[in-house]
Amino acid sequence: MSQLTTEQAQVLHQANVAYAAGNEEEGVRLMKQIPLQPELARDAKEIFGAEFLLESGFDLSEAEREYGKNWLAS
Amino acid sequence: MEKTGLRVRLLARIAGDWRNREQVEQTAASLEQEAGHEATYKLFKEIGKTVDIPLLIASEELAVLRERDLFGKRDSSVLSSLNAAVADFAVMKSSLQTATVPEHYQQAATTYHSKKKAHGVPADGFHEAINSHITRLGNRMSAVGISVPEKNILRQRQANMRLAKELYIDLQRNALGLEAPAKGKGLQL
Repeated sequence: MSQLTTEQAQVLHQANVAYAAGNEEEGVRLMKQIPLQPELARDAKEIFGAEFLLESGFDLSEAEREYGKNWLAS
Repeated sequence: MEKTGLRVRLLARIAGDWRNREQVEQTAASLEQEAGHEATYKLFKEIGKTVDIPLLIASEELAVLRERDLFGKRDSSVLSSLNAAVADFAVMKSSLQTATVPEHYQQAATTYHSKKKAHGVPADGFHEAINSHITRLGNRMSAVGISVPEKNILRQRQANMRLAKELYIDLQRNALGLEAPAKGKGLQL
Protein backbone atom coordinates (compact mmCIF):
# COMPACT_ATOMS: atom_id res chain seq x y z
CA MET A 1 0.00 0.00 0.00
CA SER A 2 1.55 3.28 -1.08
CA GLN A 3 1.06 6.23 1.19
CA LEU A 4 -0.16 9.48 -0.29
CA THR A 5 2.00 12.56 0.07
CA THR A 6 0.48 15.52 1.92
CA GLU A 7 -0.21 17.19 -1.43
CA GLN A 8 -1.87 14.08 -2.84
CA ALA A 9 -3.96 13.72 0.32
CA GLN A 10 -5.10 17.31 -0.19
CA VAL A 11 -6.08 16.55 -3.79
CA LEU A 12 -8.01 13.50 -2.58
CA HIS A 13 -9.80 15.72 -0.09
CA GLN A 14 -10.67 18.21 -2.82
CA ALA A 15 -11.97 15.36 -4.96
CA ASN A 16 -14.14 14.16 -2.08
CA VAL A 17 -15.52 17.66 -1.63
CA ALA A 18 -16.26 17.91 -5.36
CA TYR A 19 -18.08 14.56 -5.40
CA ALA A 20 -20.05 15.51 -2.29
CA ALA A 21 -21.09 18.73 -4.01
CA GLY A 22 -22.28 16.77 -7.04
CA ASN A 23 -19.42 17.98 -9.24
CA GLU A 24 -18.30 14.63 -10.57
CA GLU A 25 -16.38 16.07 -13.50
CA GLU A 26 -14.13 17.97 -11.12
CA GLY A 27 -13.89 14.87 -8.90
CA VAL A 28 -12.69 12.74 -11.79
CA ARG A 29 -10.25 15.45 -12.91
CA LEU A 30 -8.72 15.56 -9.44
CA MET A 31 -8.62 11.78 -9.06
CA LYS A 32 -6.57 11.60 -12.24
CA GLN A 33 -3.87 13.60 -10.48
CA ILE A 34 -3.42 10.93 -7.82
CA PRO A 35 -1.38 7.91 -8.91
CA LEU A 36 -3.61 4.94 -9.59
CA GLN A 37 -2.82 2.08 -7.23
CA PRO A 38 -0.60 -0.39 -9.19
CA GLU A 39 -2.95 -3.29 -8.51
CA LEU A 40 -5.95 -1.30 -9.71
CA ALA A 41 -4.05 -0.14 -12.79
CA ARG A 42 -3.10 -3.75 -13.55
CA ASP A 43 -6.72 -4.89 -13.14
CA ALA A 44 -7.99 -2.04 -15.32
CA LYS A 45 -5.49 -2.99 -18.02
CA GLU A 46 -6.67 -6.58 -17.84
CA ILE A 47 -10.36 -5.69 -18.00
CA PHE A 48 -10.51 -2.55 -20.14
CA GLY A 49 -7.26 -2.88 -22.09
CA ALA A 50 -3.94 -1.02 -22.20
CA GLU A 51 -5.14 1.49 -24.78
CA PHE A 52 -8.06 2.58 -22.64
CA LEU A 53 -5.77 3.01 -19.67
CA LEU A 54 -3.27 5.10 -21.64
CA GLU A 55 -5.99 7.35 -22.97
CA SER A 56 -7.84 7.64 -19.67
CA GLY A 57 -5.47 10.28 -18.36
CA PHE A 58 -4.89 8.64 -14.98
CA ASP A 59 -1.48 8.94 -13.32
CA LEU A 60 0.17 5.56 -13.92
CA SER A 61 3.51 6.41 -12.30
CA GLU A 62 3.15 3.98 -9.40
CA ALA A 63 2.21 1.12 -11.69
CA GLU A 64 5.20 1.91 -13.88
CA ARG A 65 7.47 1.90 -10.86
CA GLU A 66 6.00 -1.37 -9.69
CA TYR A 67 5.80 -3.27 -12.97
CA GLY A 68 8.49 -1.60 -15.10
CA LYS A 69 8.43 0.90 -17.97
CA ASN A 70 6.95 -1.44 -20.54
CA TRP A 71 4.26 -2.92 -18.37
CA LEU A 72 1.44 -1.67 -20.57
CA ALA A 73 3.00 -3.15 -23.69
CA SER A 74 3.63 -6.59 -22.22
CA MET B 1 -19.34 14.36 -18.54
CA GLU B 2 -20.62 11.87 -21.13
CA LYS B 3 -17.35 12.12 -23.01
CA THR B 4 -15.42 11.03 -19.94
CA GLY B 5 -17.13 7.69 -20.16
CA LEU B 6 -18.49 5.39 -17.55
CA ARG B 7 -15.31 3.34 -17.38
CA VAL B 8 -13.19 6.34 -16.46
CA ARG B 9 -15.78 7.52 -13.95
CA LEU B 10 -15.89 4.06 -12.41
CA LEU B 11 -12.11 3.80 -12.22
CA ALA B 12 -11.95 7.22 -10.53
CA ARG B 13 -14.53 6.11 -7.96
CA ILE B 14 -12.89 2.77 -7.21
CA ALA B 15 -9.52 4.50 -6.84
CA GLY B 16 -11.15 7.17 -4.64
CA ASP B 17 -12.88 4.66 -2.35
CA TRP B 18 -9.67 2.70 -1.99
CA ARG B 19 -7.58 5.79 -1.25
CA ASN B 20 -10.14 7.05 1.25
CA ARG B 21 -10.08 3.73 3.02
CA GLU B 22 -6.27 3.79 3.16
CA GLN B 23 -6.37 7.30 4.58
CA VAL B 24 -8.89 6.33 7.26
CA GLU B 25 -6.85 3.24 8.19
CA GLN B 26 -3.85 5.45 8.89
CA THR B 27 -5.64 7.74 11.32
CA ALA B 28 -4.86 7.51 15.02
CA ALA B 29 -8.50 6.68 15.76
CA SER B 30 -8.42 3.73 13.36
CA LEU B 31 -5.19 2.39 14.83
CA GLU B 32 -6.63 2.72 18.32
CA GLN B 33 -9.75 0.88 17.20
CA GLU B 34 -7.58 -1.93 15.86
CA ALA B 35 -5.70 -2.15 19.16
CA GLY B 36 -9.05 -2.20 20.95
CA HIS B 37 -10.22 -5.10 18.78
CA GLU B 38 -7.03 -6.96 19.66
CA ALA B 39 -7.76 -6.53 23.38
CA THR B 40 -11.37 -7.64 22.90
CA TYR B 41 -10.19 -10.74 21.04
CA LYS B 42 -7.85 -11.65 23.91
CA LEU B 43 -10.68 -11.25 26.40
CA PHE B 44 -13.02 -13.51 24.43
CA LYS B 45 -10.16 -16.01 24.28
CA GLU B 46 -9.81 -15.85 28.05
CA ILE B 47 -13.57 -16.36 28.45
CA GLY B 48 -13.21 -19.37 26.13
CA LYS B 49 -10.85 -20.97 28.63
CA THR B 50 -13.56 -21.09 31.28
CA VAL B 51 -16.09 -23.88 31.60
CA ASP B 52 -18.76 -21.41 32.61
CA ILE B 53 -21.73 -21.79 30.25
CA PRO B 54 -23.71 -18.82 31.64
CA LEU B 55 -20.65 -16.61 31.16
CA LEU B 56 -20.02 -17.94 27.65
CA ILE B 57 -23.64 -17.28 26.69
CA ALA B 58 -23.86 -13.91 28.48
CA SER B 59 -20.65 -12.59 26.87
CA GLU B 60 -21.96 -13.51 23.42
CA GLU B 61 -25.39 -12.07 24.13
CA LEU B 62 -23.83 -8.81 25.25
CA ALA B 63 -21.78 -8.63 22.04
CA VAL B 64 -24.89 -9.26 19.93
CA LEU B 65 -26.98 -6.67 21.81
CA ARG B 66 -24.21 -4.13 21.29
CA GLU B 67 -24.19 -4.93 17.57
CA ARG B 68 -27.96 -4.53 17.43
CA ASP B 69 -27.70 -1.12 19.09
CA LEU B 70 -24.82 -0.03 16.90
CA PHE B 71 -25.68 -1.46 13.47
CA GLY B 72 -29.40 -2.15 13.70
CA LYS B 73 -30.19 1.54 13.97
CA ARG B 74 -28.10 2.41 10.93
CA ASP B 75 -29.08 -0.52 8.76
CA SER B 76 -32.54 -1.98 9.23
CA SER B 77 -31.73 -4.88 6.88
CA VAL B 78 -29.52 -6.49 9.54
CA LEU B 79 -32.11 -6.08 12.30
CA SER B 80 -34.01 -9.29 11.57
CA SER B 81 -30.87 -11.40 11.82
CA LEU B 82 -29.82 -9.70 15.06
CA ASN B 83 -33.33 -10.03 16.49
CA ALA B 84 -33.27 -13.73 15.60
CA ALA B 85 -29.97 -14.01 17.48
CA VAL B 86 -31.48 -12.32 20.53
CA ALA B 87 -34.41 -14.77 20.40
CA ASP B 88 -31.92 -17.65 20.20
CA PHE B 89 -30.31 -16.49 23.45
CA ALA B 90 -33.69 -16.56 25.19
CA VAL B 91 -34.06 -20.21 24.10
CA MET B 92 -30.51 -21.08 25.20
CA LYS B 93 -30.99 -19.53 28.64
CA SER B 94 -34.31 -21.22 29.17
CA SER B 95 -32.94 -24.63 28.11
CA LEU B 96 -29.92 -24.12 30.31
CA GLN B 97 -32.10 -23.40 33.30
CA THR B 98 -34.02 -26.63 32.73
CA ALA B 99 -30.92 -28.74 32.12
CA THR B 100 -29.30 -27.70 35.38
CA VAL B 101 -32.11 -29.42 37.32
CA PRO B 102 -32.01 -33.12 36.33
CA GLU B 103 -35.63 -33.83 37.36
CA HIS B 104 -36.88 -30.92 35.27
CA TYR B 105 -34.79 -31.89 32.31
CA GLN B 106 -35.82 -35.55 32.46
CA GLN B 107 -39.44 -34.45 32.34
CA ALA B 108 -38.79 -32.02 29.50
CA ALA B 109 -36.86 -34.71 27.59
CA THR B 110 -39.97 -36.87 27.37
CA THR B 111 -41.46 -34.24 25.08
CA TYR B 112 -38.55 -34.34 22.60
CA HIS B 113 -38.77 -36.50 19.51
CA SER B 114 -36.68 -39.60 20.03
CA LYS B 115 -35.22 -39.35 16.52
CA LYS B 116 -33.92 -35.84 17.05
CA LYS B 117 -30.67 -36.58 18.78
CA ALA B 118 -27.15 -35.23 18.66
CA HIS B 119 -24.23 -37.05 20.24
CA GLY B 120 -26.68 -39.35 21.99
CA VAL B 121 -28.63 -36.59 23.70
CA PRO B 122 -31.83 -34.80 22.64
CA ALA B 123 -31.20 -32.13 20.00
CA ASP B 124 -33.37 -29.72 21.96
CA GLY B 125 -33.97 -26.00 21.57
CA PHE B 126 -30.52 -25.17 22.90
CA HIS B 127 -28.90 -27.16 20.07
CA GLU B 128 -31.02 -25.50 17.42
CA ALA B 129 -30.45 -22.02 18.81
CA ILE B 130 -26.71 -22.32 19.27
CA ASN B 131 -26.22 -24.04 15.90
CA SER B 132 -28.03 -21.14 14.25
CA HIS B 133 -25.83 -18.68 16.04
CA ILE B 134 -22.62 -20.55 15.16
CA THR B 135 -23.69 -20.43 11.49
CA ARG B 136 -24.55 -16.74 11.82
CA LEU B 137 -21.06 -15.96 13.16
CA GLY B 138 -19.49 -18.04 10.38
CA ASN B 139 -21.40 -16.14 7.72
CA ARG B 140 -20.20 -12.87 9.14
CA MET B 141 -16.61 -14.06 9.11
CA SER B 142 -16.68 -14.55 5.36
CA ALA B 143 -17.93 -11.01 4.71
CA VAL B 144 -15.60 -9.08 2.41
CA GLY B 145 -13.89 -6.04 3.90
CA ILE B 146 -13.88 -7.19 7.50
CA SER B 147 -10.58 -6.50 9.28
CA VAL B 148 -8.33 -9.30 10.55
CA PRO B 149 -8.76 -8.32 14.24
CA GLU B 150 -12.56 -8.28 13.77
CA LYS B 151 -12.38 -11.69 12.09
CA ASN B 152 -10.31 -13.03 14.99
CA ILE B 153 -12.97 -11.85 17.45
CA LEU B 154 -15.73 -13.55 15.44
CA ARG B 155 -13.71 -16.78 15.18
CA GLN B 156 -13.13 -16.79 18.94
CA ARG B 157 -16.78 -16.03 19.65
CA GLN B 158 -17.70 -18.98 17.44
CA ALA B 159 -15.23 -21.22 19.32
CA ASN B 160 -16.80 -20.07 22.59
CA MET B 161 -20.25 -21.05 21.33
CA ARG B 162 -18.96 -24.48 20.30
CA LEU B 163 -17.53 -24.88 23.80
CA ALA B 164 -20.85 -23.80 25.34
CA LYS B 165 -22.59 -26.47 23.26
CA GLU B 166 -20.09 -29.11 24.39
CA LEU B 167 -20.62 -28.15 28.03
CA TYR B 168 -24.37 -28.16 27.56
CA ILE B 169 -24.25 -31.70 26.16
CA ASP B 170 -22.34 -32.72 29.30
CA LEU B 171 -25.14 -31.16 31.35
CA GLN B 172 -27.74 -33.07 29.35
CA ARG B 173 -25.87 -36.35 29.88
CA ASN B 174 -25.64 -35.64 33.56
CA ALA B 175 -29.34 -34.82 33.80
CA LEU B 176 -30.32 -37.96 31.90
CA GLY B 177 -27.82 -40.19 33.68
CA LEU B 178 -25.99 -41.03 30.46
CA GLU B 179 -22.35 -42.09 30.26
CA ALA B 180 -19.90 -39.79 28.56
CA PRO B 181 -18.46 -41.34 25.37
CA ALA B 182 -15.20 -43.23 25.75
CA LYS B 183 -12.04 -41.21 25.43
CA GLY B 184 -10.79 -40.89 21.91
CA LYS B 185 -14.35 -40.85 20.63
CA GLY B 186 -14.90 -37.37 21.89
CA LEU B 187 -17.46 -34.96 20.65
CA GLN B 188 -17.17 -33.80 17.09
CA LEU B 189 -18.86 -30.44 17.40
